[in-house]
Amino acid sequence: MVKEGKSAPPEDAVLQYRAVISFRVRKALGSSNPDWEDVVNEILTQAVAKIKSGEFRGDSSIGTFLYTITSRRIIDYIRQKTRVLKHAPEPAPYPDPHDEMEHRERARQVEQVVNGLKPKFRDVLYLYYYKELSREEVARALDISPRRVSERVNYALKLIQKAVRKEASGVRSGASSTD
Amino acid sequence: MKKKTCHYDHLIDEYLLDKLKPEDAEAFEEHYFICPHCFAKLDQQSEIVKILKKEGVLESGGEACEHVPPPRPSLWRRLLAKFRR
Repeated sequence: MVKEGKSAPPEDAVLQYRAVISFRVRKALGSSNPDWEDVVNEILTQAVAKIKSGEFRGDSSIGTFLYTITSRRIIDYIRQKTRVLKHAPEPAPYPDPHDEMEHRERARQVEQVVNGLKPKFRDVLYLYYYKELSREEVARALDISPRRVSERVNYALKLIQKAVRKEASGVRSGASSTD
Repeated sequence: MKKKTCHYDHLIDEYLLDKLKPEDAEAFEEHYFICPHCFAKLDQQSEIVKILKKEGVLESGGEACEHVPPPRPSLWRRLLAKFRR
């Protein structure tokens, strides 16, 4: 994720973690929460400041250091939000139209793969992801072993990932050929 | 070429579905901050799981599930039933 070279400026080192910090913050706050980007930016700014002031001494990896800052900021945000805006309505988020289009396209690909699956795979996906049963509960419901549940989930996921990757690389090569 | 795997691979699904114990979730979160392999997989799988959960993609699967046969009784119960006959 990052090469911890001594010569890299702190901004560069920290910015390489933007994706992972964003993921963590969105998971904790909910991706429809419009504040998530501000929280991520605050974390990045805080991390750079701490590195510059010498607070990060390199005892742990920079990833662990950023994880700690991220977790603390998330806890602070949730506390603040609970205290100040307990009953305030959330403003509606403004999704990026390009992201929305890509997401819809991926959803279509996933749907296509799912529709082509044998019922035994679809049933496992339905119970595991949609009904959110545990592997053991799915196993009991379908009278198969939990190991078989894992195999079916992994098989179906691999097919879906393959289709999504194939489409993504097709889109990329298509885009570059039109440049 | 051998595919790269990680000791934490198997936690990705359960983390995304919020099925991990808080302490396991925390350990995994700390891990994916330092493991590019797990983060890449997590990021990709996250969108797929979101689609499977929310977009109604699997809802038709629910209809298919209605005719999923009821679980078979255990071997012990089946044997017991056989002897009672």
